[in-house]
Amino acid sequence: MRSSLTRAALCGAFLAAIAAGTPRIVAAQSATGTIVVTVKDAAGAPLPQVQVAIVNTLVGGQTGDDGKATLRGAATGPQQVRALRIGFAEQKRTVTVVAGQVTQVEFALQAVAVTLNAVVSTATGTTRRVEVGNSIGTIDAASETKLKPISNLQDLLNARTPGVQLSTGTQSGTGARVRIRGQGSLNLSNDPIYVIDGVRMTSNNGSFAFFTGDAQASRVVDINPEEIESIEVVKGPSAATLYGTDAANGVIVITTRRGRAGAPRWNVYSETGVLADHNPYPTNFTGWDGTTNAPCRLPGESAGTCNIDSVRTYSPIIDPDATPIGRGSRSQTGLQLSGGSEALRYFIGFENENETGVFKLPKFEERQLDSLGVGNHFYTRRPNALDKQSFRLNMNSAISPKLDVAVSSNYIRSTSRLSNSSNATAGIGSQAYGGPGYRNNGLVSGTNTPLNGYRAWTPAYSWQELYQQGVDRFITSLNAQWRPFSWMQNRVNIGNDFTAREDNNLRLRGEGAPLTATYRLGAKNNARAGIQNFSVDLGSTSSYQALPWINTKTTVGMQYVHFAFNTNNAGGSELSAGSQQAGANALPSVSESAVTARTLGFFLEEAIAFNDRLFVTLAVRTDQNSAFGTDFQSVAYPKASVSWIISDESWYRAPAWTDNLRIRAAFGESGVQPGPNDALRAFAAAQTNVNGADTPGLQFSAIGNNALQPETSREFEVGFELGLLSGRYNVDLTYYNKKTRDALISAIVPPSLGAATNVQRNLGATQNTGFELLARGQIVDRAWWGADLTISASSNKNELLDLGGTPAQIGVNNRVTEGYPLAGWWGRPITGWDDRNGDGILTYNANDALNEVFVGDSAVFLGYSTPRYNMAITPGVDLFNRKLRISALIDRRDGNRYYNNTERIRCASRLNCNGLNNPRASFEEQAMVVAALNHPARTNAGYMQPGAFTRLREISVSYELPSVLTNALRSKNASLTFAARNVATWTRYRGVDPENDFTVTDGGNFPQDFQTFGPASFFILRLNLGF
Amino acid sequence: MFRDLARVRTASNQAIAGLAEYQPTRIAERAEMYFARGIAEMQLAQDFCNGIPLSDAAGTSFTLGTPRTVAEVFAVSIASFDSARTLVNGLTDAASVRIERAARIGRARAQIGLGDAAAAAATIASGTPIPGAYTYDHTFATTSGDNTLWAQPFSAARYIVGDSLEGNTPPSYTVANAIPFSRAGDPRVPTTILTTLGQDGQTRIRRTTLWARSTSIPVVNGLDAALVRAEAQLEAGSIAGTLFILDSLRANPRTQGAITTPVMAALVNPGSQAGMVSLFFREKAFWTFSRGQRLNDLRRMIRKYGRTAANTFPTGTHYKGPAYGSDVNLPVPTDEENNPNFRGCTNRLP
Repeated sequence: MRSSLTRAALCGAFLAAIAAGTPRIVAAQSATGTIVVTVKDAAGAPLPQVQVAIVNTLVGGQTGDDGKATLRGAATGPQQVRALRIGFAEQKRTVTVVAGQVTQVEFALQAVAVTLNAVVSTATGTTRRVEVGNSIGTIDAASETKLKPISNLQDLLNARTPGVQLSTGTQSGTGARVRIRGQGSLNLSNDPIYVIDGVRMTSNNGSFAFFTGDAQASRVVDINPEEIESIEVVKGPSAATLYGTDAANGVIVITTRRGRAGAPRWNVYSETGVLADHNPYPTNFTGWDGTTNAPCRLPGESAGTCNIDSVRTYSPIIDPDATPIGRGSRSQTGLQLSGGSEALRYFIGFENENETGVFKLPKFEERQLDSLGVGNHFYTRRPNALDKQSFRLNMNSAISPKLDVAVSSNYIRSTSRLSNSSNATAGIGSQAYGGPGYRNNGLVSGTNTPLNGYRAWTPAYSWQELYQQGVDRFITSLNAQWRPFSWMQNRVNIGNDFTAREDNNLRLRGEGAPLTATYRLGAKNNARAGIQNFSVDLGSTSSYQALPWINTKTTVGMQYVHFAFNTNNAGGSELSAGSQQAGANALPSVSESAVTARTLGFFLEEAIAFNDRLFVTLAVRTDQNSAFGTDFQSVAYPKASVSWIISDESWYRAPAWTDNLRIRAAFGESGVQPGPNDALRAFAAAQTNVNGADTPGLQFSAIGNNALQPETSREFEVGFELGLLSGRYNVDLTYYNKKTRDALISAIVPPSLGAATNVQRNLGATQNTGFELLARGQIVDRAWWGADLTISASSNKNELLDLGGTPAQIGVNNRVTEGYPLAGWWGRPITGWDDRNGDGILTYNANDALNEVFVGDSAVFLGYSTPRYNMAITPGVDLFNRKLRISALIDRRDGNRYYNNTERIRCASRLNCNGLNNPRASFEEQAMVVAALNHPARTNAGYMQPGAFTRLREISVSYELPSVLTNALRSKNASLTFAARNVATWTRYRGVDPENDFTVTDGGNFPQDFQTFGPASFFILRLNLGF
Repeated sequence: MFRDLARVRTASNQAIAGLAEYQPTRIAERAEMYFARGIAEMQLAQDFCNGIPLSDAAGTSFTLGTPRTVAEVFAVSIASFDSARTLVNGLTDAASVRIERAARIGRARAQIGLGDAAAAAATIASGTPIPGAYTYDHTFATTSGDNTLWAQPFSAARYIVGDSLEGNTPPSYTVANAIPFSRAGDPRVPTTILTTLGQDGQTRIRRTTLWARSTSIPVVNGLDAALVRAEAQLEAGSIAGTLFILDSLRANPRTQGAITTPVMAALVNPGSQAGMVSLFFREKAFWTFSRGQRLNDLRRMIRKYGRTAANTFPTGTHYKGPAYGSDVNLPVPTDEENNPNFRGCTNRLP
């Protein structure tokens, strides 16, 4: 109640102040004129896409293909006009505007080698970058997609902005874990939110109804990167305040392509490529006793109960005849049309994309199934594939001099299928990694099918089970800007992102893995979900020139987001022979769920500009959310920032080789809301059998917490941007300190309570601190060749400051303990070994005098679970009059331990690892096994391995075709690009790949390699044609 | 397992409170909830170490328990069974009679756990006679969930019938103190040894047909009552008395799970009390195979009958590599350390 009154009073006071000031402002500015701006480059050619604006007003626009823009409603008298565009130095001109007349002004912009985006999107609208006190990462999507091997939005975000860390799933069509400035929450989502064309975008990770054991689909992957103009990354609470309750993890702001005034422009592109898997897969080992003709492992050898006279080695993954890995493929074709007039601009795009992953039925199984003539479906031969079409229509219309309307609409249709793998018992990973050290290892249980070195069944059995998803998605938004006065701009953004998702899991009768006695009786499950994100954003900005050297902009606004997720699942098990319908299950099952979350926020922002070089911004936002506990009604987030272009000050004296210097600082708060039902005590419906009759029942499923509050993150950041050597170099350095209080912890419920396993509580505080560096340089800048280099680096230190007086959360391999990172690996360390009996085999003995493997007495912190240090180096060379461009992206990550859970299970359960079977295995490998299997500590510390790596993530060669070829193609311009992704990796990690992670889409924070197949390498050839 | 047993306690307490408030005339059901709670408590005491917290999450506020000894938890279970019997005392409807018998057998088994077989036998005899065919079952149907004793070992091949000789080609690892359940050919645990491999891809499957997909599992039954009486005879040192009861069971076919046992030959007198102890527990192992009583029996052989862990629990090299360990009970899970009253098992004694 009290917060509602405060909010109402705040708005009322503000509106009263506006009203009080209005008559004077209106009286001063009732007569207006028009300014026509013409912008050219140094050579005199028209320059499109230049942002032009009257300084200290809200009057502005963008030049078209003819380099012209018309600014209507300009106040009379002397007015300063500014022109800015990326790649060019900003300029200002002063003109005198006469009422009712048209005033001309011309600019000739000078190119500079390195600049950042001139304008950025904020929650209050488009703003010049120099006015913003936060570090905002920007990605020139249009350029990247043309020149780099970009398959999806995740590729666009990966390793391109300091502070943003991605790890992706390894199957085609799967999502990624995205972290901006570390991990703030232990148990809530650490994923950023996404805004596309001003409206909230659905970005669910793990967006699939069925368990596959591996990374799953993501709604982020739906978005076509070819339709994106630019991406801005709002990194933390200091910048995200005005995005509200769930923006503490950052905001990815996407702007899709718009047409620009001019003749119709066609852009056609076609891409084809292959996917290949060159990862180093482990060999399976079996120590062998030739006398008993049976396996013999190191403990038995050491105890004398058997004798290893040979070590058999084999891997079905490596054997060409048995491998489930083949060549994948990729193709993509698109057509875009843009153009229009000042009154109406349009962008139309259509694309078809197909990608087939590397999983492929082994040759021996192709032969077998062909001979049988059954069970060989398209999804069995190729279990992982993605097929997607995207259609976009964007229109921008200047309805009147005071009203602009933009409509964006995007329809996406996709079909994908995934292989069960990694953590799925029936999946391919468990079988491929778990077999013995020989190929002739018997038959699949209950069949005459040779195992061929797989553990319990062969890939065909796993892949006779279909996991498929179909998506129809419609994202639409309406953006309107109304300027009733020259000093006022009102905006409306309304949008709806609706996804109709249908997931299917099919196992025909008589097919599938022999997981149980009934598994091969078949099953069909069909899950249909509707995912909706509806958002409304209203804002009103008023500009006021208090004094000649002070300009203020006051913005008041409201945002409403309504998220709904409804799903029905019809399915069951034991299908009729030949049937594929859910209704044909002999044992049916049905489920449904509905999740709704609503957020209503109001904000007020005051931006003050002093001499157009010192900018101070103050803001506050208040939110109510349906997920807050009943005892908690709303939350308020303040914000303050300052940006100072010191180099514009008359007193500034600096070396001639420096161009501009801006320092900035920002403070702000934001929050992450609890799950929609986290505050509720809940029971789950269950069915059981009592006295021979099926009976409905209830099972205690959630304890609930009436006092649940959102996590609130408070961040302070400070930084500077420095231009050097006439715009050829730019350095951007930021320090951030983000503290999260009321951190939501999924506290472990003691099992003796007999309730749910976890309960959400607001406990304690966490902190993330770090540095971000972005350095760009045009090292060589000649007409006929050039060389550039971009270095992006970041560090992160994460610490749990306070648990709020509750005990540390103790897990098997991790702990939540004050003074340590939220997500860190813990374990009793292996402190050494000593082959005391000299037999070359390490063993554990309860007698200390005989024991050979030594383990620490208590668990210690072993390392971060995700990299602390990230660096991306992007060198580029332009040759042959800048027609040929060669560039690369080298990605270095360090500061973490990676859990090789694949090797752990191979040693502990599959018994096929080197350290357990091979007398010649290193003592280090043997010690890992003994410590995990035999030592009372049962520690997995040996499998928490160095996770640092350097990866040649991208390399591309792009050539602008000469006119003789473009003429032959009847195009205005054409380019041919060869690009590759995941080319090579250097690491000390012992497993397949230090980014192999089956948990990327499950919201967890403990990435690990668990029977996961490695990321594929992509090799792509692309042709771009412009007409 | 620990959490699931605690769930039974909490759900029982919630049901008891709810029935008392909203359906006070449903006496038999409320008694049944006390019985269920007692079974969960008894199972905790049978299997887990000393230092078991018993907490309560049924109400609006939670109570975290303090570590209790195994004997204390057995006593708690007896109190639960007594509450059940008190509610239905004197009632003659079928449901009440059924619960009274179940609670009586449960109480007796808990008294066995405390080492007082004589008192347990007295409990069995304290009410109307319990028919030999009496059973209180946990029932199953394919529509609501398979019998897990069938699903995990038989259907999923994750577990096999144990034996004293392990390994595959040929079995060569002797497991000291283990009963050869799969090779004994005992009709109470009919077992087939296959050449196909289990889910580990290494172990040959040994499966029993004792349980089928929807076979009911006895929670307590007339067989348990008979074995309580037999152990009372054993405790009293009466070999003849013990053999009489055991031979009576062997002489009368009974339905166990999905099988019906045939008439079996009488046992051979072992000739000594020590031999009778071994024979009794061997018989009980076959009669109650996979019903969750064996671990408690092994612990009681040490606690009450003077055995040691070395001559009671399996020892030797496991055929997959490591040796059998020294644990004689299950530890309370690490997650319980989030209960500030709990810092691990008080001890790991039998």
